Amino acid sequence: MKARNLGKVFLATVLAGAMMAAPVMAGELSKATEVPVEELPVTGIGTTVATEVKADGEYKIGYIAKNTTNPYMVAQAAGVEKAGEDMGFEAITQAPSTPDSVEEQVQLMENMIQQGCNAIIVHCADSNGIMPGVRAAEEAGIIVLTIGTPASQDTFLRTGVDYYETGYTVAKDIAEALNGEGQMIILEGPPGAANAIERLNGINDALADYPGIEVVASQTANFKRTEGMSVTENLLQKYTDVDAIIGANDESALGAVQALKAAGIEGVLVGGFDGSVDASNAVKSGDMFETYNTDPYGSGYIACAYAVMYLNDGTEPAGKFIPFPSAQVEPLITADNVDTYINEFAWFNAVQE
Amino acid sequence: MMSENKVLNALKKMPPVVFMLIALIILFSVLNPNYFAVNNFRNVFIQCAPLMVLGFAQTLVVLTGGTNLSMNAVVNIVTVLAVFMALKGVPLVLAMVIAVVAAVGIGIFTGVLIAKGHMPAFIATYGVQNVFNALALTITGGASIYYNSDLYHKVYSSSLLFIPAPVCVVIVMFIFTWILLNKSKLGMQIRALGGNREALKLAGVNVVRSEITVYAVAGFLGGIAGLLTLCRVESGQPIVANGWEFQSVAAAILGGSSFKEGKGGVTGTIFGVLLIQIAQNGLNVIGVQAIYQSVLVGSIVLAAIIIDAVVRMRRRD
Repeated sequence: MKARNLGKVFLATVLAGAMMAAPVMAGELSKATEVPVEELPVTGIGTTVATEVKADGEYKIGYIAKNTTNPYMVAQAAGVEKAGEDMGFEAITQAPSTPDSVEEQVQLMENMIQQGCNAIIVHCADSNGIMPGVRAAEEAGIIVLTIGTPASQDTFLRTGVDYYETGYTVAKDIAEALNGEGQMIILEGPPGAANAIERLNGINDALADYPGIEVVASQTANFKRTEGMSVTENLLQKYTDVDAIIGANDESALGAVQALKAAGIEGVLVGGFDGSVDASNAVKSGDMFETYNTDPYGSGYIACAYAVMYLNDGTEPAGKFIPFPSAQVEPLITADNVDTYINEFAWFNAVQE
Repeated sequence: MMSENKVLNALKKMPPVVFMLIALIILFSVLNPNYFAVNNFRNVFIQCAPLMVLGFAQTLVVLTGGTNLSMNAVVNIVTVLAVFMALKGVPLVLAMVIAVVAAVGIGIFTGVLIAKGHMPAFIATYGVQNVFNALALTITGGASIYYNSDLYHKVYSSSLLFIPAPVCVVIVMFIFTWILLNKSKLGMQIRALGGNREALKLAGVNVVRSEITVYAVAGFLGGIAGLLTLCRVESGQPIVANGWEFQSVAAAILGGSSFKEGKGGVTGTIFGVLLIQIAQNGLNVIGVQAIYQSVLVGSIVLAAIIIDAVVRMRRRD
C-alpha cells in the first residue's frame, strides 16, 4: 500500500539530502543509498529480523549506545547482542555512565580498540565530538559504523533511519489521510539537534506538495511529553480548528494526545516517530493516528551484518549510508497493523521480555 | 637497617590510595590479559588529563575548607566560548586565551561571593554553576557548536619526549600548583584558611584577598582543563564536564587533602584521579555494563575514602 510512493520518496530523499547536507554537515557526508529490500543482508524488521550471514572467524564487535536510560538505546544494544548469537561473534555493548556524554563515548572507543575489537558500532551523542574516537579506530585499522546520528565525516557505514525520509513519509501519509486539506501543528525537536532538523525538513518538503494543508504553528516541544502537552494546550487556545498534529518523536506526540483529551477535542490525526510502547498503545486505542517504526533493534542487527560481511571477505556495503528501516519495509504503524506490530515484531518486546 | 627503616617510613607516609590503586591494577590485570599494556595506560593518562587539572584546582579550594561545584561549568563555558568566538572570526588561539581569561573572571566572581558575601562555598559555587551552565546552553542553543581546525587534533596527537602533549600540560600545571602550595606565601595562607582562619586574621593577613585569589587560580586551572577538553571533543559542548565537579572533589579527598586541617596537597590528588579513572577504564576493558559501572566506581571511591579514614585514625593513635 505504501510502496506506491517509493519512487517519489527516494527521489525526494536524494534531492533534499543534497540540498540540506551542506549547511548541517559541511557537505562531507554521503547521501542515503536506497538498497532494494531483497539485497539487504537481513530479512524482517524488529524482533523478526534474521540473517544468513555467519562469522568466518572469531570477531569481537563493540557497540556504544548514547545512554542506558532510553528504552530505544537498550533495544539497540539487545539487537547487537542477538546479532552476536545469530552470526557467531563476541558482542561487547557499552554506554557512557553519564548519559549522552560524547567525551565518555570517545573513551569507550579507545578502550574497545585496546580490547582488540574488530569493528565498533556507535550511536553518536555528537557528530563532531565523536571524531577523535573515529580517527583512533581508523588508525588502528578498525571499521566504524554509526547508527542514527552520524559522525561528521563518512565512516565505513552509517545505518539506522534517514531522519529526512521518516519525516517525509509520515507527513505525506497524514496529508493523504486529510485528502490534502486542513490545518496542522508541528511539534519540533530540540533546536539545533541535527536529527530533529532533518526530520522537520522532511515533513515540510512533503507538505509542500499539498497546498491545501496549512501549518498554523511549528514550535519546539524538545522531544518531551510534558512540553508536547503544554505547547499543544497553548496552541489549541488560539487554533480551534486543527486537523492534524505531528510530533517530532513519540513523546511529544503523546503530549499532544493528552492535551487534546484534556480539551475534549476528537478527530485530530496525531503522528509521531519511533513506534514506542506508549505510542503503539495510543495507535491501538485510536488516540494516535500513526507512528514510524524506527526499529533500533533491527538497525543494531543490520549494522552487525555489514560489519561481519566485511570482516569475512572484505565486502563493502553498496553505499556509505544505507538507511534501515526505510519506507520500503513498511515502517508505518497504523490502526491496520498495530496489533501485529505489538504482538509479533515490535522492537520494544526485545527489552521487555 | 637504616635504609630499610627509611623505606618503611616513606611507605607509611604515602596516602593509602596508592596501595588501593596498585591492588586495583593487579586485579584488572588478572581479569583481562589485554589490560596491562603500555597503550592502555597511555589511554588512561590522556583520558584523565582534564580531570587531573580540575583535581589540582579543587585541592586548593578543599584546603581552604571549601568545595567548588562550579568547576564543571567553567569547563563547559570555556569550550563553548572559545568555539563561539572562533565562529565569529576571532583566531582560535586568541579565542582560547580569552576563554581562559573569562574563566579567571568567573573564579574571581565566585571568590568575591564567598569571601566578601560570606556565602557558604557549597551554595555560592552551586549557584555559579547553574548560571554559567545555563549561559553555555543559551550560547549554543542546546546543541554542540563546531569550528573546524587541525589545532585540536595536533594538541592531542603530538608529544614531547614520548610524553603526550595533554600529559605535558598536566605536568606543568602540577608543578605550578605544587610550587604555589609549598613554596609561596599564598600556599601557607591557603592551608591556614582551612586550618585556622582566626589565627591568619590575627596575623594581619588580608583573608578576603587570599580567598579570592584561590578561586581565581582555580578558575585559571578550570580554563586550562576546558581547553584540554575542547581539544579532546573538538567542539563546544555545553554539558561535557557535568559530573566532574564532584569527581574532582572526591579525587582531592582520596588524595588525602582535608577540609579542616589544611593538610594534604596536589601529589595525593594525582593518585585520587588515577583511582577513579583506572576503575572506570578497567571496568570498560573487562567488559562490565555501564549500569553496573557507576555502582562499582561509586563503591570503590566510597570504600577508598573509608579505608583512608580508618588508616589515618590508626596512624594518629
